Amino acid sequence: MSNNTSGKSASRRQYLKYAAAGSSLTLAGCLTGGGDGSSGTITIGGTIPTSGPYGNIGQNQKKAVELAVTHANEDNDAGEREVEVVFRDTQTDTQEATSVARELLRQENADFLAGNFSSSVALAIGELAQREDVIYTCVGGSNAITGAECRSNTFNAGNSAVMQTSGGLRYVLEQGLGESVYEISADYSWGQSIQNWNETQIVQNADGVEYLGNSFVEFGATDYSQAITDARNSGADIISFNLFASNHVQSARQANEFGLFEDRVCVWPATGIVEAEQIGSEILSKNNFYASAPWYWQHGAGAAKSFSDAFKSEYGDRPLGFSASMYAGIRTTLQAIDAADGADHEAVRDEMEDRELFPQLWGTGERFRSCDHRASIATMTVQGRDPSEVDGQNYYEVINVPDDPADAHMRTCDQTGCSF
Amino acid sequence: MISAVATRVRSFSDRVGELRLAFVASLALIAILPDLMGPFIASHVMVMAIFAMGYNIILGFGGELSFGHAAYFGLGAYGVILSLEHLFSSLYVAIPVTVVAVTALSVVFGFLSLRRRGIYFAMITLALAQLVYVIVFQWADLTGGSNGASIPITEAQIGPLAPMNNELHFFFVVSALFLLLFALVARVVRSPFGRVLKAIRESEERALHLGYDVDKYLLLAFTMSGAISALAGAIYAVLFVFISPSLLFWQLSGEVVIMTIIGGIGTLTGPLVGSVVFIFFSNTLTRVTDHWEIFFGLVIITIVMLAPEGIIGLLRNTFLDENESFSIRRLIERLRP
Amino acid sequence: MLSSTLTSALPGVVETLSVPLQVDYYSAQLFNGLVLGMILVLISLGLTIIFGLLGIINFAHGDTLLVGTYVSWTVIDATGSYFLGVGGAIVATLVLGMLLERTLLRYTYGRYGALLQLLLTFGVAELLRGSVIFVWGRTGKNFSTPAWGDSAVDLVLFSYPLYRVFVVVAGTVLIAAVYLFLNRTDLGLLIRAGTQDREMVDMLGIDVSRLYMVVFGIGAALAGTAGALIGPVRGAFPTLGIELLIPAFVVVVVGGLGSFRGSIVAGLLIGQLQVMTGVFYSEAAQAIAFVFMAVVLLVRPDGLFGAEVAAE
Repeated sequence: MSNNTSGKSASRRQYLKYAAAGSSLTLAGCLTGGGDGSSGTITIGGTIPTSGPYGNIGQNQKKAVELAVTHANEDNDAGEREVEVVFRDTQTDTQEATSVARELLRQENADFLAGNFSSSVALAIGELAQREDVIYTCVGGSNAITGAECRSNTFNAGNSAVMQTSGGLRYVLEQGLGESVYEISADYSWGQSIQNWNETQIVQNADGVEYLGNSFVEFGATDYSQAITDARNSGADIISFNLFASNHVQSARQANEFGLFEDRVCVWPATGIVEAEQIGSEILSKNNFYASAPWYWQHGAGAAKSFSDAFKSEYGDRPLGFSASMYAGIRTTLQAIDAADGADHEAVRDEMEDRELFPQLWGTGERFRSCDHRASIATMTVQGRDPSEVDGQNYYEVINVPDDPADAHMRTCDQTGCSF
Repeated sequence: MISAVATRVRSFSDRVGELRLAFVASLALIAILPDLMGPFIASHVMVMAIFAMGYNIILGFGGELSFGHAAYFGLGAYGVILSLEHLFSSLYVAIPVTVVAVTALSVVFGFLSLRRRGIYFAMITLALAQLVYVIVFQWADLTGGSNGASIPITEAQIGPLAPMNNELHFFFVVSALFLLLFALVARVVRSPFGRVLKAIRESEERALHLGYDVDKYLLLAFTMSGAISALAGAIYAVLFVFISPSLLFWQLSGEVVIMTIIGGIGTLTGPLVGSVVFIFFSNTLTRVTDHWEIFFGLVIITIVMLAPEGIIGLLRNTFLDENESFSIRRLIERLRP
Repeated sequence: MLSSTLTSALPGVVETLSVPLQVDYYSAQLFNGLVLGMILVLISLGLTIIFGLLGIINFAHGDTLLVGTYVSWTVIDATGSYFLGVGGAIVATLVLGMLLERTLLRYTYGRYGALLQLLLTFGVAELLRGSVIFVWGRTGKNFSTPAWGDSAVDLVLFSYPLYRVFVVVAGTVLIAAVYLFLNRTDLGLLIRAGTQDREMVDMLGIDVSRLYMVVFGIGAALAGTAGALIGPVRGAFPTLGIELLIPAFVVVVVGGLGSFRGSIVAGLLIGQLQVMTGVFYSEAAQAIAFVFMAVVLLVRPDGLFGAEVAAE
């Protein structure tokens, strides 16, 4: 502090040094467009929330990414290139996510970005990846990601809101479990996506099914008694709870409190182990509980079993659906990088379009559709097991897996409003 | 050792005056920031320092605790993005227009809030800010709702500098802006207006007896503080590119209070020092531990218990005359419901 | 049938108006509002008592409640008894409150203004939440409804979850108990006297320091009780406390800071307001409490019952 004057002149030199370094950095960025990837190492920038409200889901996904990297190096997914990953915590916040993603690109020289399961974060990182000319492999349900706001560098290895609700509401309607539908929806993009699709497509296309209405609940609300009273009062046979994660947990418990399971079918569009643990098998095993799962570890496909077992022996617990999507998404991207002979986003993009996911965790020939870059994975329908049957993490029983999800359960390329 | 340094600083301070000393010290601190934290985080610090400096006008100089300044900051950020999307193509038109618009809103909110003082004032500012948050969140067609918004790519060249594309250039620009505002606030504080504000802070009753229209003075301070907060929010959007409604949530209002207090309320350099320390802590803690809440809580408790006058207050205690340093503590003690 | 044809003809308009005119429907919604209001009142009671005597806005109140929720969850998990769980929460938060007062807040009286006290409790809140996460993890816990409350009860016009009815009854009992405590016991009278005029209690030669400790402990224990009662309704998860704190602030401010009657009336009112806004215009449900608070403060600057406090 005492030698202010000399510090000042030193700092001016410092500024000049920085300015020079800074401008050369941008220049380099312009010329090569992110890392070049031919140098022998591929660095994955892992953008996953490991703290905050979805930290526990993120921790599981992070393990899947680590496992994907290990397996990729063993199997030479990216050819001779060594694969490594650097993680940053997005805290499920778009601002935090984009600033750490930028850090990964600038400081860690990541060749592509991967990770996350929140729709809004996926949209923001996707926009960043577009501006920075890198590939982004993600999971995110909102229809906007592969719809009106689609970005050509973004590849989505998870199922969309439409696919999620197909495994739930559409399935119970096809089974003829009711003739009228009421919805309770989270009031943000993902919930709105599902609500709209249910009302305008699924219910419209089901013969003799009446749509009775919807109650939006505020983002972050934890008490659904008012919406549940609305739903009950509507007299609907089927109630679709378009609520995610902790809101899914709360609404399932409250549906039970208000006795909805006794005479109504209740469906949730995205469930998993984490939710099952918190809801408890007493409630899950109710006859009228139905949910769709993006993927569940007891899925019958051969690749699913070996992935799930490898995960379990490495980390002691089972992978979540979002983790499975991410695992396949990353290994597929690495193979595409090998095929493109480098991480240049345009070349990789060409290779990824219409590429089959590897490994085939759904076992139905799922691939990255070229019109919207969404993976054509088969959303499954699950019901809870009886508490007495629960052993380990087998909370659910898979009761339906569509054979050809691409035709039956995805929006058509025209419907997405996205076309590459 | 310390006392020797203290004497030298004191004599230096006497010679050049505390204001100049503060200015030079700020300059020195800013100069080492990019080295210390990298240009991006250094820029983030400067943006928050501008926010805290604006906030300090109402808390430190006006003596009223606002708990809703995230509204002006957040609206500044959304305003610049929306006006670039729909109205103007130049960033340097969008920013001033946004600041003017948000300032107009802060006049209205200030008028409503300043009908009360103390805790009630804090609560009304909180309520109005939460209202803004809810509206921004709900009005998804315009704001993008929970998905947030991103600033359109624009050319924003200033001479040789490209602040939109280069973080170090951005840092130069935002630092220059900070120093300019620093000089401006210093001038305001020493103006007749600033002296009346100080009188109000010391005793509102006496100021009333002296015939000052206290509400009007405080409203002006509130408005200035809202304007600078909006400016900080606007450049935040340029730096971060992506913003979400969490920018308007009460948590950010709380953070700016903490930054200002860590630095030292009612001082010119306090906001800068406070934002350096705060951002350093929050960045480091979330990296090194999964349990940052515990440490964050302990840091706040320690500061409040041991150094409520903030870092600048502590420095003044060490280096300057006792009665100078006591003014911050007196000020803090006056702030009761 | 008619309503559905109308809905398809005029989707936007009818949807907001198509509220069936049924007595049972509205009374069920009113009861939802009552439950929400009672929860708000339960949280506000402790805030009010602490503010009344100590003049502190306690930001750590929400996370004290959180400690109560988790402690009761743990005790229920271990013993299987719901009421032991509530007891455990009360004891734990009572001790926690007294400890906080003794080790931290005590040193702030007279020295620091409300701003620093508020900031201190803000730090304590972070510390408490961090500790809860440290002990119980970031994932929420499955807080089951006690077996005796796990069914619906017939309330003539509609049936309602028994446990929620219990929350309303328990809340009413608790309010009555606090009322009797404040009005019929020596300690209670002292607290009321202190709320009216802190200096007078000083002059009576009472050991104010012990009084403050006890009152802070009682305030915290009320939060803990609320936390245990709310557990089965909302579940146990780390942000539960922050989520409930801001609405509770709104309640105590609308009611008039430090006013016992005020926080009860305001809590019940805001509960109804929020649910009914949800029924008629759900877009505004989140904002309505804040709008209401702003309006009340502008019309009645001291809150609905603020005059009681302003008597000094």
